[in-house]
Amino acid sequence: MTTLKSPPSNSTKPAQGFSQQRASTRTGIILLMIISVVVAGVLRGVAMDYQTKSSEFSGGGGSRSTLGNMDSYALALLLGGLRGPLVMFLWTTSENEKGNHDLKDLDTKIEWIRLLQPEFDSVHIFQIWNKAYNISVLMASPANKYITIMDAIKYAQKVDQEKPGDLNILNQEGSVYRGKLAATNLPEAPFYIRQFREETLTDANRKLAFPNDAREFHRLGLPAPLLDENNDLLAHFITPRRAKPAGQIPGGQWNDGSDLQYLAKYKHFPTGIPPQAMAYNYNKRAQVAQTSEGQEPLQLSPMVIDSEPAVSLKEWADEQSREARDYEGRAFGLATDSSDGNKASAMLKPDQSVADTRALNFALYDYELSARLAADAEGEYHRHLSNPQYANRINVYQSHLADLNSLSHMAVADHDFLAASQATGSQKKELLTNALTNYQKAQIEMERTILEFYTELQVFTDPSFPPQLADSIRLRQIPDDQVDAAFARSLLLIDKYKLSEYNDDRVQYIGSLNRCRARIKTLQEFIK
Amino acid sequence: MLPAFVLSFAFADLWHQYLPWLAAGIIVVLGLLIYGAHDLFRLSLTRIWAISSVCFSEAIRKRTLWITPLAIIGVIVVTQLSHPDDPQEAIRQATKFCLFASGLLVSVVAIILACTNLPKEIDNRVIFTVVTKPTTRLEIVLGKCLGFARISATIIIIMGIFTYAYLQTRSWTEMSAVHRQLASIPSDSPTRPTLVYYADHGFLTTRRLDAPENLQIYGRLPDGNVRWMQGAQSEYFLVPFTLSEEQKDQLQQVADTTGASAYLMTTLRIQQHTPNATEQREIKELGLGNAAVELKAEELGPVLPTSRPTTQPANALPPAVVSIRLLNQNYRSLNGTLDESAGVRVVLQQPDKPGDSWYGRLTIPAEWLNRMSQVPMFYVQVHAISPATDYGVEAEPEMIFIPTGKQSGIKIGPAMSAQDPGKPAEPELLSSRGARGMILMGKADGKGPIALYHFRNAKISRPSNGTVPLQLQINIEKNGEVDVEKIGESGYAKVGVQVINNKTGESSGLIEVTPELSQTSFLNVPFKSVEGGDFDVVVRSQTQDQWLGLKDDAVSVVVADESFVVNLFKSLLVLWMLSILVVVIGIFCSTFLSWPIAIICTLVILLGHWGVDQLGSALDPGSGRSIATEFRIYDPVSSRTISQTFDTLSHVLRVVSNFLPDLSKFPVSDYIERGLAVPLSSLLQSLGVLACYGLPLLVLSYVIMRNKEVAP
Repeated sequence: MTTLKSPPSNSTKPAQGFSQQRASTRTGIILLMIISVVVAGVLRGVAMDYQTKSSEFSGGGGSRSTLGNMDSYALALLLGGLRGPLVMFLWTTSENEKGNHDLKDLDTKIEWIRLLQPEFDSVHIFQIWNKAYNISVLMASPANKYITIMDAIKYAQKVDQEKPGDLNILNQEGSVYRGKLAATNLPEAPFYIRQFREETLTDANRKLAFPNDAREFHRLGLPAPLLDENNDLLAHFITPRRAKPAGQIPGGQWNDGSDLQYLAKYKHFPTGIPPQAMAYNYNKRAQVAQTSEGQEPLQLSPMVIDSEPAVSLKEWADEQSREARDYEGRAFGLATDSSDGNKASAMLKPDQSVADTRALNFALYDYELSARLAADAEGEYHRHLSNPQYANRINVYQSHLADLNSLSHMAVADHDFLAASQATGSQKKELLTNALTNYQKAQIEMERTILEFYTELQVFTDPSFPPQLADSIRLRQIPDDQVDAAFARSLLLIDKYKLSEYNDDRVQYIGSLNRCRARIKTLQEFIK
Repeated sequence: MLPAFVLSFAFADLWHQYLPWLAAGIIVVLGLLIYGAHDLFRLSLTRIWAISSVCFSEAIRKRTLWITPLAIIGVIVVTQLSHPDDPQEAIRQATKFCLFASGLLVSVVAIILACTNLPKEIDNRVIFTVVTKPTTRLEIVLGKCLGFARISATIIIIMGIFTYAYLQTRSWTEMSAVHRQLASIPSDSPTRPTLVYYADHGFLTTRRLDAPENLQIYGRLPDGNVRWMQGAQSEYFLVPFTLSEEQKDQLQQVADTTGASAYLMTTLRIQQHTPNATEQREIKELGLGNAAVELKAEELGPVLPTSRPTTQPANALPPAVVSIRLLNQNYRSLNGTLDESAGVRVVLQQPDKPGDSWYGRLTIPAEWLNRMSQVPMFYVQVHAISPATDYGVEAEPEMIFIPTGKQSGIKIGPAMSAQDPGKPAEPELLSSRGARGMILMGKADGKGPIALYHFRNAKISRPSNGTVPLQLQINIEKNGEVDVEKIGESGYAKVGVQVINNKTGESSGLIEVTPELSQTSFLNVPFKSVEGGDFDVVVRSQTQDQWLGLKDDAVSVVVADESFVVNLFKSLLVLWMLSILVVVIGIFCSTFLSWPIAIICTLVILLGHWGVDQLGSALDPGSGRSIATEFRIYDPVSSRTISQTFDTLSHVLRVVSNFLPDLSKFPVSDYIERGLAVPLSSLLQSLGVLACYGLPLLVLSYVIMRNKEVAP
C-alpha cells in the first residue's frame, strides 16, 4: 500500500512565517535606529556638559546653537547629511549675488549660513564684516547704509546670544561700531553718530537733546531705546548674569555676562550713547575675555585685542568733546557746526548771556564726561603698556597719551568756563581762574605734542634753533616754560622752509590751539 | 559668396530653432501614424482611464500624498527663517518657497513613480494582468502617463491650496506691519509712496504692466525737432545705414581706387556755456584744453575767433568734438584695426552764419569702406565728447558723401524708418551701458542728462482715485557724492521723475524718489498726465556724480490689477505641464532601463540643457586653448590636442543640449513672485515644450513597449 505524503495542510503558513520574520526584522531596525539617535543625543549632551564645565568662564558651553527654535543637532539629522552641500551652495550663490549687486535674497542666505554653521567663529567674523563693510557700501542712501551696518551688529548679537562671551564675536562687534558707525573719516559719520545717539534715547528725551531732528527722526537700527526715561542704562543691559569666579582672576577684571557691563559706571547719558562708547564696551569685554578667561583671538593678535579698549575710549572722549562744542554753540545761539573749528564759540565772553540753558547743561555734562573718559583712557593705556610683552609699544602710544593729557585739560577748562557763566561772585572767579590754568596747560601740552611728534627734523637742525632745546625735545624733557617759545620758533622755520610732511597732523591741533589762545586772552582780560 | 554666408547663418539659426520640432514630427508620424496606426484606431479612452485609475490608486495606496505635509512643514520652517528686507519681499520669498517646494515635491514623486512603475510591474509580473487583457501597448503607455499626471495634479492642488492659504495669512501679518510703519514714518519719508501703494493694493495682487516703447537718453527735454545730448556724459547717438548693392559697389570702388575718398559728414547744433571747475578739469583730462577757443562776452554769441589764442584762459570754451565709430547690427565695433573703445575724434567746425549747424568731416579709411560694403547694415555711433557743450541732433545728422567733381558728389543717407518707410530712420540717443543698464549721470542741480521713457498706446483705464501707479526699478550704478551738510534719512540717492502727456501737455510735475539697490518702488502720478496712453516719463539723477543704471523696462505703468488666484492657477498649470513632461521622460526611460538607471537617465535628460547653460562661456569656441594654458602645457602638439579635444567636446555638448528640453521655458515662479501676471505666451511656450518633447517620447515609449517581451 502506497501512502502518499499529505500535501501541506496550509499553504499560507510559510508565507505568514516569512512576513512575520520581515516584520520583526523591520521592527528591529527601527528600534536600532531610535536607540542610535537617543544614544547619539545623550553622548552629545554629555560632551556639551563637559565643554561647559571645562570653560566655566566663557559660558560658551552652556549655550545651544539653535535654528529658530530647533536644535542644530535636530537640524543635522533632518537634513540627512546634506548640510555641507547646502552650505556650499549658499556661500557660492550669496557671494555671486553680492557681486551682481542683487541683494534680494542675500540677507536670507547669510542668515541660513549663520544657522547652518553656528559653531564656526570665522564664518561669523566674515559675515559681520561682509555686511558692515561690503554690503553697506552698495547702498545708495545713508539711511540704508546705516540699517545694513546695524544689521551686521544684530547678526553679531544673535551669535553672542548663542555663544555668550565669545572673544572673536565681541571684538568684531566692537570693530563694526568703531570702524563704521564711529569712523570720523567717513562722510556719513555725522549722520551715523547722531542717528545712533538718538535711537538710544526715549522719544521724549530725544526731543530734548536733539530738538532740531524731532521732525525728521525715524528709528532705523535699534528697535527700542537703550536708556530709560532718566537717561540711565536700562537695567537688563547691566544686570550681571554670571557669578564672580572664585579665586584670583588674571588681570583683576571679569566679564559678568551683562551686555553693556563696561558702560555701567558711566550710567547716565542725557545726550544718548555714542557708537564710540559701544565700541569701547565690546572691545573691553573682548580684552577681558582674553586676559581673564584665556580665550584666544582667531584672526587678530592678542596685542591688538589688549590695546583696543584704550584706543576706543580715547575716541569716545574725543567724541564727547566734539559734541560738547556743538551744544556750547547752541547754548549761546551760535552755529553748531564744529567743522569751522568753533571759531565763534572760542570768542565767547564769560559774562555772555545764555540762549539755551538746556543746551548749556548738555555741554557741561559732555565736557565733564570727556575729561573723565580721557583719564580712564589713560588708565587703559597704562594697563596695556604695563604688560611686559607690550611695553615697547610705548613709542606708538606716547602721542595718544599726550593727546589725552591735553584733551583732559581742555575739557576741564571748557567746563569751568561754561560753568562760570551761571556762577556769581567768588565761585565764578574760582571757576574762571581754574579754566585759565587748564587752558594754559592744554596749550602747553598741545604745543609740546606738535614739537615732539609732528615737527620736521630740519627745524631742529637749523642753526637758529637752540641745540639744547632740540635735545630736550628729542628726549621729551622740554620744560613747560620753554615750550611756547620753542613752538613759535619752530613755526617760523616750518614756514621758512615750506615744510609740509606733518602739515595734516598739525592742522588737527590748530583749531583747538587757537581756541585755547583766544580763551586765555579773554580770561586774562576778564580776570584783570 | 556673401549671400551664401548670410544664408548659412540664417539657416543655422532656423536649424537650431526648429530641429527638435522637425525630429518630433518625424517620430510622431513614423511611430504613431505609420507604425502604430492599427493601435491608434483601436484607442479607447475608457481603457486608458481604467489603467490610469489603477496607477492612481496604486500611488495613493503607497501613501504618496503623505509627503505633502512634510513639504508644507518644510515651507513654513524655511519661511520663518528667511530675512526679507521689506514686507513685499517677505511675500515674494514665501511665494518662491511655496512654489519651489511644490515643484520639487511633484517632480520627485513623478520621477520615482514613473521610473519605477513599469520595471517593477514587469519584475513582479503584475503586467501580465494588463497585457493579457484586450489593451494595446499605446493604451498602457497613455494610461500610465495619465495616471501619474493625475497624481501630480492632486499634489499640485493640495500644495496650491496651502500656498494660497499660507500667503493670505502672511499677507495679513505683513499688511499690519505696513500700517504700523506708515503710522511711524514722517509724511515726507521717501519710503512712504511705496508703502501707501502696498496698503492700497495689498500684497497678493497681480499687476498688469505696460512697458515703454523705447528709452532714450537726452541732454535735456527736446526742443522742437532738435534733441540734445550733453558732452562728457557718456551720451551718443546711433544712425542706421542700409546700403543698396549699387551704393556698396560705389564705396568698394572708392576703396579700390588710389586717391579717391569718401567722407562721413556730421551735422549738429552746438550750444556751449562757460565751463565750471569740474568741466575745466574734464577739458584738461580729455586733452581738449590746447585746442580751446576763448569765450567772448556773449557765451553763445555770434562771433568767435577763427584763429586760436596761444594762451588759454581758465574759462575757455573747448572745441566741439565728437568721437565716431561704426557698429555692426549686433552693436559690435566695425572699425577693424582701429582702437575699438575710443573711436575716431572729429572736431566740428563752426558755421559761417550764426545759428547754423556745425559740421565735421571724417575721411573714411579704406578698411572701413571694405567693411561697410560687406555687411547688410551698420550703425554710425557718434559720442558727445566735449564738456560744457550741448550737441543738438536733428533728423539726418550723419551722411556718407562720395565726391565726384568739385561741386558734385553722391550722398548716401541713413536707412529708412521701419514705422514710416517714406522717412529716414530717426537717430537713437543713448548712453554707454554699465553693468546694470544704460548709465544716466547725475548733477546736484538736476541739470544732468535725462532718460526719456516713451509710452505709446498704453491702455490705462480711468482710476477711481485719480492716480495711476508707476513701477520703478532703478538701479544705482555708482553712488554719488555725499553732502555732509544735508545728509539725513532721505539721503543723497535722489531721482526726479516727471510724467508728460504728449497729447495734452499735462505734466505730473517733478516728483522726487529715492531708489535703492534691488528695490522696486511705486509712485502715484495724476491720471491726466497719462490719459490717452501716449506719454513720456522723464527720469533724472539729482545727486552729483550719482550714476543710475537704467534698463529698457525700468519704468512701467500699472495698467490693471488682476486676481492673484488666477495667477496662482496659471503658475500651477505651468508646474503641472512640467510634471507631465517629467512623467513622460520617466516612462520612456523605464521602458528600456532598470528603474535606478531610468531615474538617473531621466534626471540627465531633464537637467542636461540647464547644466550646459550653466557652463556658459566656458564652452565657447577657443576655451580649450585657455584650458591648455591653465594646465601649463607648453608643448605645441599636446596643447593643440587638448585644445581641440576640449573644443570638440564643448561642441558636442552644445549640440546634444539643443535636443534636450529647456526647463527655463517653464516659468513656474518667475512672474508670480514679482507680482506680475503670467502671460498667455508663457503658458503656450510651456505647452510647446511639452508637446515637442512629450509627444515623441510617448510615441517612442509605445514603440519600445510594443517590441518588448513583457509577458509569455
